[in-house]
Amino acid sequence: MRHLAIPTALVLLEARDLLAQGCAMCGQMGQNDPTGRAISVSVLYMMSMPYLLAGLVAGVFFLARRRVRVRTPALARK
Amino acid sequence: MSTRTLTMRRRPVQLVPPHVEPLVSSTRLAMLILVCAESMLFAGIIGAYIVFREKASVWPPADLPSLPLFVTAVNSVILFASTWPLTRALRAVHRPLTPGLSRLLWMTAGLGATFLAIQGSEWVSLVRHGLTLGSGAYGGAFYVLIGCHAVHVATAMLWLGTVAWLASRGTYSPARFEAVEMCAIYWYFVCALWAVLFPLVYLY
Repeated sequence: MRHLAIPTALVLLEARDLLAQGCAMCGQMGQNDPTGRAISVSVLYMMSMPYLLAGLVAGVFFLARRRVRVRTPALARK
Repeated sequence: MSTRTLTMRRRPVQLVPPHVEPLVSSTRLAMLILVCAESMLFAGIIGAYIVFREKASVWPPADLPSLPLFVTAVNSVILFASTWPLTRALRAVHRPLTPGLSRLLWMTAGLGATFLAIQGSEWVSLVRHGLTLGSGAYGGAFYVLIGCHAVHVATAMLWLGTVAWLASRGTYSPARFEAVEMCAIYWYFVCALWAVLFPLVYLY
């Protein structure tokens, strides 16, 4: 795998401008295009939602676990 | 033909493990899944609203009325105030005798009904001023987003009404209160949603 690392890195570095466009739609729109900016803001917001919800679920489980440990001190020592 | 005795390695019989309570009960888990699904639904609608809002150079469009901020702010206070009797109801259900539980739940539902009534009158006024579902992206986005929330408030109110009616018949006790708790979670979710929607739609 090591012998593939340098060619892969070179290809990725060469294609950095293409990668920066993200997708064909974003590539076509300019930086100052209001539609492009609107979609970018919306995408950022939408992208954060699953992480927020995963955090909520993790928080519920964490609190439930802490409540159980407080109720049963024997578990707290484990 | 020969007969042989079948021999099997003996394995010690496992004793039935003691019943262990799940970390999060099935009802709570179901409610959590419902809240996550609803959140993603609203995330999609809010995402669409953000696209329309960010794209528009003038918001609201010049020929359409702006939204009534003061009335909606007062209405928001009414909705947020409804969490107070609900929190008290959640505390009351843990006591052996729950005489005030039904009253507190009806109070919460009543505040929700007031919120919906004020919002309905606001919508009637907006429609009279020319803001309808067909008034471009502004009207469409507003009615879909706020209307979707109103449907959720109405559903939660029906749920609260049912739970309050059952509470008046003495259905709930400190040992059996999951229905009240699940209903409360949904109502808190609806209120938290409004805390996001009000600044986004009326202030942004």
